[in-house]
Amino acid sequence: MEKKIPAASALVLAAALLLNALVKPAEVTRLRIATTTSLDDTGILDALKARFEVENPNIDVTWVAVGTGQAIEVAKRGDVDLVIVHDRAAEDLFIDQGYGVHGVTVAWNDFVIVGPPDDPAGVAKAKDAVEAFESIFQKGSLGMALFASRGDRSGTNLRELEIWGKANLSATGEGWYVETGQGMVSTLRLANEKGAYALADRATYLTVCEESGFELEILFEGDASNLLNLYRAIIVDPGKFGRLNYEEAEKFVLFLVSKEGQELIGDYSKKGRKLFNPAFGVLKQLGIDDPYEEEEVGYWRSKLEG
Amino acid sequence: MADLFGSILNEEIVNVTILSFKISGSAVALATLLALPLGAMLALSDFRGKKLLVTLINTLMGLPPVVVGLVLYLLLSRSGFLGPLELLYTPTAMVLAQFLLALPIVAGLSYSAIAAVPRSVLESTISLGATRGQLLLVLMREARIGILASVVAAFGAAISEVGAIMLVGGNIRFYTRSLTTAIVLYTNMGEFGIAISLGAILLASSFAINLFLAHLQARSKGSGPSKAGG
Repeated sequence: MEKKIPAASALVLAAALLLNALVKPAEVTRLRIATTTSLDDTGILDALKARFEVENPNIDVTWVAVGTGQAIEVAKRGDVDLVIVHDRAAEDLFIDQGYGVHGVTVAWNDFVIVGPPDDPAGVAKAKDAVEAFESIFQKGSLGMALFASRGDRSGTNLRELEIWGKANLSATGEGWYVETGQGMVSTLRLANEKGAYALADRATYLTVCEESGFELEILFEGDASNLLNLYRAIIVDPGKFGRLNYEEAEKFVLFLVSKEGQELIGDYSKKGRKLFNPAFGVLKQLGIDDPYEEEEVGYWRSKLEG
Repeated sequence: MADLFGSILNEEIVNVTILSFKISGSAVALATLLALPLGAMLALSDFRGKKLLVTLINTLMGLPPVVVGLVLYLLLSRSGFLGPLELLYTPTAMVLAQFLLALPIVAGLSYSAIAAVPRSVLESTISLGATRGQLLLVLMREARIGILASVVAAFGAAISEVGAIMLVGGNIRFYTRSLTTAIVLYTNMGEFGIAISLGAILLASSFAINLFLAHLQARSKGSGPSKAGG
């Protein structure tokens, strides 16, 4: 008899563990967001969640942080209620195909070209990002420069490919063009180790470079037409799928575009550096003419007032 | 103790650790409940295609977690076959994924253990007039050390995998973030210090569980196989 005790106790333990794992938490609606790694890694979503949940205690804001490509795919399958991503072209397609509604830009910062301090390709002297990429391509072909690419269809990667496209160049498969297939931080780390150039979003670069003691420097910046990084929130169309938490998603977006949310985004800082700028209704000032955006800004303004 | 666990981060590490062990513990317990009878039946019976089935189980023992995760994701997705269950991005989905990973390990290894019980034990039990059920019990008893080893191996595989639970759990903070997915996250964030600490916690807690299981093993070894049948 005595020998059966371990077996019996193991069984009881297992049953208890099982029950525990299966039990559903109390009456809280879980808002599910698919977002990009940059918003998660910088911690801004944690800050927004904390403030939002004070006023909405019955909404639990959760997110999966993946590349923009995966975020949109996941949303297309109806697995999340909201996406917050940063690839305009993919987003437009997502909206055009009827998967997303009321997309509105909530935050912006910019991409920067980083690289080794000695700048072998001389990108610091380039007149725009396209020219910078051209000179990296040139020096790379001569074996004098390397480029580290995310290669993961993230928003940053797609932007990089867009710039290569504008330069009419294809770097894929070149010996000096390294595709990491990993996140921004891992890619920056590789660029740092190898003395390679990379395209990075400013927020991640700032957060990570300083604390990791990277040698990488910002070599080119400030090209508004090629390097603007816009984060847009798009609600997944509830008509496509049943059981989506449309109301909760709407409440969260409304919070993001509210004065409070926009101030929180603009003031959010890490180690004394601000990482994002409020973007609601300022796209025209940033030099972007997007009729859809203007229309949606109007929609959200009326919601804010109503 | 109070100041050690005072900060949010420490509290989070505790939660993450507990979740990891809950998930893997439930998954392996469930898998054992199903796989053990399967392994025993395989060992006891002879039928056409048995070799093929055993080979299949052995192959599945090496199933890549990320493939299990991907297939399960597609099934659990709202557009998927099991979408109406709404299990995606929940701890239950994580249990399910690790259950699928643990199942062939327990089945395959327990089959080997039971099949390795000497024929003489089988024959003498039958000659004493044991029913099929009693025979099964005797065999499991004889093979208990190997069976326990199969559970240990399955638990080790489950607690250390990251590919499957990352995809179906989503690594959601305070909800589906486990030790291994947290390690990936903190590594990606460049927080190597935290990542390594989590790795150490994973290793230390697995060590504790294995100590406990080894203790069980030693106890059952000491009791002697000849007293079987009680």
